[in-house]
Amino acid sequence: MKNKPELLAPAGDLERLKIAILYGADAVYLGGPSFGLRANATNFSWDEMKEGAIFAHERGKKVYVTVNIVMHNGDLDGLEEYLNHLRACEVDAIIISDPAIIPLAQKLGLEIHLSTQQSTLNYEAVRFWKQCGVSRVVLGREASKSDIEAIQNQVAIEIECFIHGAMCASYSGRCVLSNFLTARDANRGGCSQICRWDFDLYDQAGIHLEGERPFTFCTKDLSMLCVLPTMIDLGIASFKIEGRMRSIYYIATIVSIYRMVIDQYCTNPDSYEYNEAYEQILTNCANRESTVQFFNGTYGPEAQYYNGRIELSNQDFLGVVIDYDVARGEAIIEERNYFKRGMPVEIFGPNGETVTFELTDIYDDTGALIDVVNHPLQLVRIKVPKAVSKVSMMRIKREK
Amino acid sequence: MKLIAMVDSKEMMASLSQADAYLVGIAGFSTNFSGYVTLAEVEEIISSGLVDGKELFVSLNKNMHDADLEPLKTLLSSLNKLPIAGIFYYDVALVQLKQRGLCKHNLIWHQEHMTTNYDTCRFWQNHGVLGACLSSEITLAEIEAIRNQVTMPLIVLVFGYIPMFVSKRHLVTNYQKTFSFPVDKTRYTLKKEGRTYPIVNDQLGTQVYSAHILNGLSEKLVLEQAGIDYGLCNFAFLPSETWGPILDKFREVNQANVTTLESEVDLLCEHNTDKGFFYKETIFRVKKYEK
Repeated sequence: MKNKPELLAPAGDLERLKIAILYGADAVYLGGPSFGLRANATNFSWDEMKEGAIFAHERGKKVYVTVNIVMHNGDLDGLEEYLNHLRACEVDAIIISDPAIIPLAQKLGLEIHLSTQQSTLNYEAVRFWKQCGVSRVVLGREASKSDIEAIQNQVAIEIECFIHGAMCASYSGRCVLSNFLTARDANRGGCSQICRWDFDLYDQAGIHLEGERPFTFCTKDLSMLCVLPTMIDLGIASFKIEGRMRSIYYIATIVSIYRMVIDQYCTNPDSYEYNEAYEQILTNCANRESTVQFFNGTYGPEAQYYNGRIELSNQDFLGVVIDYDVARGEAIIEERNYFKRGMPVEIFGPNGETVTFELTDIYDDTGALIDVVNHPLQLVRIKVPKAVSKVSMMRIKREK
Repeated sequence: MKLIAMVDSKEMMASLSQADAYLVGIAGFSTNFSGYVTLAEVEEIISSGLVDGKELFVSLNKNMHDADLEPLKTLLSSLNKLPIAGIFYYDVALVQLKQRGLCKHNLIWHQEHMTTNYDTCRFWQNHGVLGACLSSEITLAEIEAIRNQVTMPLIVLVFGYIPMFVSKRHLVTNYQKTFSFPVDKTRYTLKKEGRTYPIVNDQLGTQVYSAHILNGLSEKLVLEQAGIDYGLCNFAFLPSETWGPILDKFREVNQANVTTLESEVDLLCEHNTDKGFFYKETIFRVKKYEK
């Protein structure tokens, strides 16, 4: 039996916080009304944050709040009041990138995690932050296995590493493309993702280097599933999933897969085997390819996207289980994407159970038998061969 | 206000002899320079008398990985013996090494996009850092407010292309390899919506610069008045024959000639100049959340 790392999930709002925790996250991170790097996300009101913290704490889980903008002079006003609110919400830690917050947070007794925005990649820097009172350092996504190993060997401090999600093309904090091209401040939560734009590349002689696809900074996502046992063996304290803007389906899928793998490996490392089917589920869920990026040095051409692709919303997610009628063996489903009779589906839930079957009987709210469900948020009843939990998710069952 | 010229060689330094100070990047430890010097070249620069009566700053502003630490300590040990005015740093490891006595030189906080407020300046000052090179993404008014609140020496970029992006990835090489172009140069340009951005793909990764050249000639006067200690000039990507004349104008500028000289700098830069963020605030809340 190995020590389990914390599985840390994003929570864009209260619903996603609850989903993340129910599906197996040990902790969630979220943004409050200000000072976070997702200024245009829904984020949490104070009441929602309190409710979220209570929900998490009742289940033995933790809540971290991002206070990770790079502050301008004008942002300093109101910071103490803001941190006082966070303390009143009884959050477990704040995640900062601007060290000006440290003295104030310490005065208020708030635990401090250092954001990946500082791109910390070596033990001397980690040692500095520890001396400043930081209890956990979120390493830069450029950290290699040997970087992490050296840090773990040299400094007794909690280390957090990203295991899944989108990547910055730059060192975090060292990109202001958004500021220059759209006047939106990347380091204060306004990033307009210029890294996903197409550009024309020219050499010094003015010759257009025009490949089949245009130049872009865009990189594939991060997925550490295939090296997760190695990361667990390194003793990393917390595994972080990126994506506060992502859907409940994304959160449920990614959290549940990593939950299973962590549990399987830590419970019985000798019999653990990498399951490629899990990787496929992760890829389908995000609709993006992924690599382990810097962990083993694969950040060359294989880590880039040049396909001029448009982000497509995931069509695999069919609906949420609102309830289950034991007497009739039927689940009440709230529709999220088109589905129809005869479709192979699976329902996976917060307890790790998965039920695979073909859709047969579908009833609308009048009790009439229907063939197709294609109205957003439409409530229908479907026959399910086994009982399923509330907030389970129904998705298309894909062949390998 | 003293003028610091960013230089990439002894020759460039010689052609900018009217500068008050120089900033050099060391190969393997620095980024966002048009070129880099070795430790031996720094020693040669000093022994040649080129910096006599002037200040020589060194920038060690790359993100340091664990494997960089031992070479960094060795480098610092050598730099400790040289008359260096200060070391510009990005990675916090430098502050730790200074606190442990492994770096004897003054440190200048230069996390280029994060040097944006006076409280964080104070934080670094309290941790033994001497000065700060302020962000190019804050306004003139914000710079003045920082000056009013902190006692540390402050440096502001007043001229040149502005660094916008630093990556460990070799983004141009990746593209060239993917689409079978020869990988043989370090400097390229990106074009988008009528603008051209210098992009450098070198040993340490990729750096991208602003489309326009910051021309802060009139702002130099304002900053000088406000008590900013140094103005930083970046001549990267500009023809060598323009360096000296541009620096001369920054030295000569006063209230009487500012309009003329500013136009002359603009002309030397082929009218590709702007005022950066001196008068332009960035936003970060849009749509319904906008304040």
